[in-house]
Amino acid sequence: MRRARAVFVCAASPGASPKGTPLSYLGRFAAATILALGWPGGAAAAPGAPPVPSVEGFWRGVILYQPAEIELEFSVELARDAAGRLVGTIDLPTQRMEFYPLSAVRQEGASVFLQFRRDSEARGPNAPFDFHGELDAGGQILRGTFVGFYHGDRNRFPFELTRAGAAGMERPEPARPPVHPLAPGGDELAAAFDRDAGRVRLVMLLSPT
Amino acid sequence: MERIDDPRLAVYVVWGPMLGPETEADAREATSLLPDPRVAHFWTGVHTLAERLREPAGLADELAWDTFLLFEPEARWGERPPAPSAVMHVDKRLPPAQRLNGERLAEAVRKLLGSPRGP
Repeated sequence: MRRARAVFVCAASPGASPKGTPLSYLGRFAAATILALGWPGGAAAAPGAPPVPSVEGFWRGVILYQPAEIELEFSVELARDAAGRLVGTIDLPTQRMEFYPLSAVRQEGASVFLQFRRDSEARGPNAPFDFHGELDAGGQILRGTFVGFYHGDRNRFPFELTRAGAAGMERPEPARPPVHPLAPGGDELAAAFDRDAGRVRLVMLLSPT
Repeated sequence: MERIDDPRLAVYVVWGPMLGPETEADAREATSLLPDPRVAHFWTGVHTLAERLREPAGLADELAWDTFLLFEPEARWGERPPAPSAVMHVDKRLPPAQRLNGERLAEAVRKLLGSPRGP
């Protein structure tokens, strides 16, 4: 099974969403540095204008909920179905969303619209979560505005995606390091901490959900 | 983690029931978010450690969940947790300047490592 691999700098608890956030998790992520690859096809362009690259492909990026504080890493995979329609999936690891179907994928010139639907604490069942973006001239960056966490003015957050490859590319299974159970007082942590004396040490206490 | 490519950094993530119903299985799943080999993952099903770290974190009456404690190389745990050189938090009753900020945290780590500023 192809999987997305999350790339973190550091993380707030997946469950530590800001108050009122309908999605259950907001974390702190860093955008991956991605090698941009080529892609086939192109979108309709005005007569005489250079062709606009197609948005088809695999993209990785972040939603900048609070830049440098809460940045949600995500990826999307966009392709055309047998009828030639754009379709796609989104991975939002902090929400445990993998290969989650997009309910709408549209491209008009450089303008791209993506949408997924999900039950929202704030906005009810099957609420839309929208990405309104613009492709850069080279077709390597898609940036714009994500709308969906809340109602009203504070519901808009910048996002940026970087082309990471072709649709359907292999994505490695994520590594899952072992988890060591702790005695109530955390003796194993204390022992590891002292064993690593001489190193800079960072202790984080987090919720896994 | 990728911004600080230095083996002299060790990170310990303690996953626990901050919200109540979390399980060790949830923790095993969450480790994929921090796969760096410098990160050791622990699971606790109780709040004892979050209580023990309350004082070092500077918290008055809140458990130390969603806190980030940074320690210098000389720190020793011994019988009780040492005083951290820096603390960051998410939504705690601590100074706003200590709110978790990835860039400031990375800078604090680099400062302790004595390494030049990263990208």
